[in-house]
Amino acid sequence: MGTTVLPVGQLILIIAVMGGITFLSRAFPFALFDRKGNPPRAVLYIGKVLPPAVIAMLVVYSFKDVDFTKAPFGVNEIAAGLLVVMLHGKFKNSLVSVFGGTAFYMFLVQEGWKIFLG
Amino acid sequence: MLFSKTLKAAFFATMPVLMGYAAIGFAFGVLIGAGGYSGFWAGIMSLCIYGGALQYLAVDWFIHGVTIAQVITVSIIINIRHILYGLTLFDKLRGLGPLKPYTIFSLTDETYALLSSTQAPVGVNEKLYYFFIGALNHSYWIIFSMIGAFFGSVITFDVTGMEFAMTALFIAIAVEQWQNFPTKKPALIGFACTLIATVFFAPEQILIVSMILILISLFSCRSMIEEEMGMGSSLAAATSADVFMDEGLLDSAAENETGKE
Repeated sequence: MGTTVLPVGQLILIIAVMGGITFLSRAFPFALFDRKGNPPRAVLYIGKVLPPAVIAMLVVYSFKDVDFTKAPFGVNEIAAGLLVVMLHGKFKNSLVSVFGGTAFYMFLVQEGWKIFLG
Repeated sequence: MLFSKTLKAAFFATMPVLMGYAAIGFAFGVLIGAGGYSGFWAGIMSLCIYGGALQYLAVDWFIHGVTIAQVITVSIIINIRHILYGLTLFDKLRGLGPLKPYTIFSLTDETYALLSSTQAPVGVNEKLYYFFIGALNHSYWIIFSMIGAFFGSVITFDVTGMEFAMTALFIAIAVEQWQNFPTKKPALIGFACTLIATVFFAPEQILIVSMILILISLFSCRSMIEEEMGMGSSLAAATSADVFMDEGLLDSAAENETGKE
C-alpha cells in the first residue's frame, strides 16, 4: 500500500463517501424514473434534447482555463479546435478528428512558438 | 466471437477517451504521487470514485486533511449535473441485467458523451457494447492514474497538450449533432448558457449554473423544440422522436463504413 499521509481508516472513509455520492448521483434518474409504465412527458422531453445541450456545455467548459486576454490569446486552442471541426466535417470519423486535432495541439503548445522565436 | 467483436468495436469507439484519460489520468497520478501516495492509492481512488474533477480536489484533502461534511458537500456539488444524464439513457441501458449498476456507475462526462451519441454498430451485442464502453474508459482511467503515481517522476515523454483529446472528442460529437439533430436549439442553448456561466461565475460553479440555465431554457422553449423534433403532443409522436434520435446520432466510424459502400 505504501506510505500514506492520513490514517488508512480515514482515507477509506473519504473514498467511500466520494464514490458513494458519485454513484448515487449517476443512479438517481434511473431509480426515480426508469420503470415500467411511462415516465412523465417532461422527463422524456429533457432526456431527448439534453445530449446536444450537454455536449455544447462540455465544449465551452473545456475552454474555461484558456485566458483570451493574455498572449497567446487562446490561438492554440482555437486553431486546434477549428481543425477538429474541419476534420470532422470532412471525414466524419472521430478517431481522425481527435488524433489530428490533439497531435496538432500538442505540436503547437510544445514546439509551435519556438519556431517563431528561434 | 461475438464477444471479441463487440469488445473490439467498443475499443475503437473509446480510443479518443483513451488518449484523453492517458493525459489527465496520468496527471492526477503524478499529483497524488507527489503528495506522498503510491500508485496503489491512486488506483483505489480511480477504481472506487471514477470522477476526474472530484479526484483532483481530493488530492488536496489527502495531503491536508478534510472534514466529512466538506467531502459530502463538495461531492454533491461536483456531481449534481449527473442526476440528469441518465434521463437520456433509459432505453439504451435497459436489458443490461446484472451489468446495469456498473454501467450506470461508469457514466462520466466522457462515457455519457459516447453513449448518448453512438449506436452500437451492426453485428455486435448492443448491450454488451455499451457496458464495454464504460468499462474500457474506467480501465484507462485506473491504469493511467496508477502509471502517473508510480512512474510520474521518471517518465520523460512530454504529454503536454494531450489533454486536448477530451476537448477534441466533445467538439467532434458536437459537430455530428449539429449536422444530424432535428433541431439546433438545444446545442445553441447549451453553448449560450455555459458561456454566460463561465463569464459570470467562479470556476467551481460553472457546471451547476450552466445546467440550471440549460434546464430553464429547454423548458421555456419546450413547445418550439418539441415541434421541431416532431414530438407533437401525443405519445405516438414521442415514439417517432425515438427513431429520430437513433438514426441521427450514429457512431461515426460505423457510419463511414456504410457510407463508402
